[in-house]
Amino acid sequence: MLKIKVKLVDGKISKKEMVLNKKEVTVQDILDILEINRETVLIRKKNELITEEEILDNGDEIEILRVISGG
Amino acid sequence: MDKSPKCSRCGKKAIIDIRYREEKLCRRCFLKFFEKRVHRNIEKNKMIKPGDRVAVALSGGKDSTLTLYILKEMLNKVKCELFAVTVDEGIKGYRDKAIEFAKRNTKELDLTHIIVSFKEIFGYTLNEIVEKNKVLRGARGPCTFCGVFRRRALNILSRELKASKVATGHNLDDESQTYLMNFFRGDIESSLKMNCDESISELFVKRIKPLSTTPEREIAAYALVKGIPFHMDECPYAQEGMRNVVRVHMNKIESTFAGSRENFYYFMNEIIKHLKTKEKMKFKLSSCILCGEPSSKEICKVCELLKIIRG
Repeated sequence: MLKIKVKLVDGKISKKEMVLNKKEVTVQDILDILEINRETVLIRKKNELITEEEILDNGDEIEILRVISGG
Repeated sequence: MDKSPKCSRCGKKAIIDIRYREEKLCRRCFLKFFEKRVHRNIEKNKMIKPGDRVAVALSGGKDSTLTLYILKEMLNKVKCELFAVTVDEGIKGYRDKAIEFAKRNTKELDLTHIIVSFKEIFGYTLNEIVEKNKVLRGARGPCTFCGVFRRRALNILSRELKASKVATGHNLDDESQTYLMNFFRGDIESSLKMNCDESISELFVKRIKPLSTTPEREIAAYALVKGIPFHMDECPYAQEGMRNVVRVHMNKIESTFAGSRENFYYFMNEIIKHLKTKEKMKFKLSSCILCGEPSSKEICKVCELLKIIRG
């Protein structure tokens, strides 16, 4: 079981905690669950950009910045 | 052990995946990759020459802000004048915030910044135009009025300020979307005008687009990495235009088939280049019989739209 905190910055800011019944999760997995097109966002962890292939650890907090509208 | 994906070029921690090049890049390699492409676009298309007086159309958003920063940096290589112009359409709660970013960045770069509003030039703010259009049950959306009036305001202002070029922040996404929109509208003429190397009217200040080969997402990434402040909010009218539908579909295609956007853009550029070699596809703008501004028809689009608003 993995807990990932997600901050979605999309004009306004919304936060959610995702609980995933998986041993390993990537940023792309999170985007797929949230139905967000990777072409429309950038991802930050601890204020640094990360790629969609980055493997997340339990308790990680990521920021999804919507940089292109209409995704 | 660090499980982060590594830079394809130097092995350091990757911050961005450039899927259409099958490369992941670290901070340093990404900045280098980004700048090289923009500089190549400027040089290949001979966008700037010594002695030019360049007006940057600055909205405060990421694209025009980066255009300003990149051209400012290029001043060390090419001796020309640079200043910023902003068109305030009059979108309450949106443009006013963006203008604050534009002011902050021009101050930071020590550049002259001139602001002109729709209200001053046309007598109405965009908010007022939208309200009037609703009352008149007009079929045209806010983006039609905004686009036509903004281009006119920019041209008038740049011409008055004796600019030899206007640099806009159009990126690869914008350009591909416009090609596709023109395609759906059956509008070849607009596509021909998009990358005009020759002057199509003495009254029309030539446009340059330094970021036309750069994807929008990478522009945002570059600004974030460099810590350049920009306005991020979305225009409240953005969802209403045809562009939004085209954008959603192009992003879906790009996410499934990486490189499609770039391929489509270069494919269209080639087609347009070939079309231009045909004599009948060359054209010059004449003047509007009502306002005297450049127009391909007897009455220009601005006068046509103003007539609608005035009822």
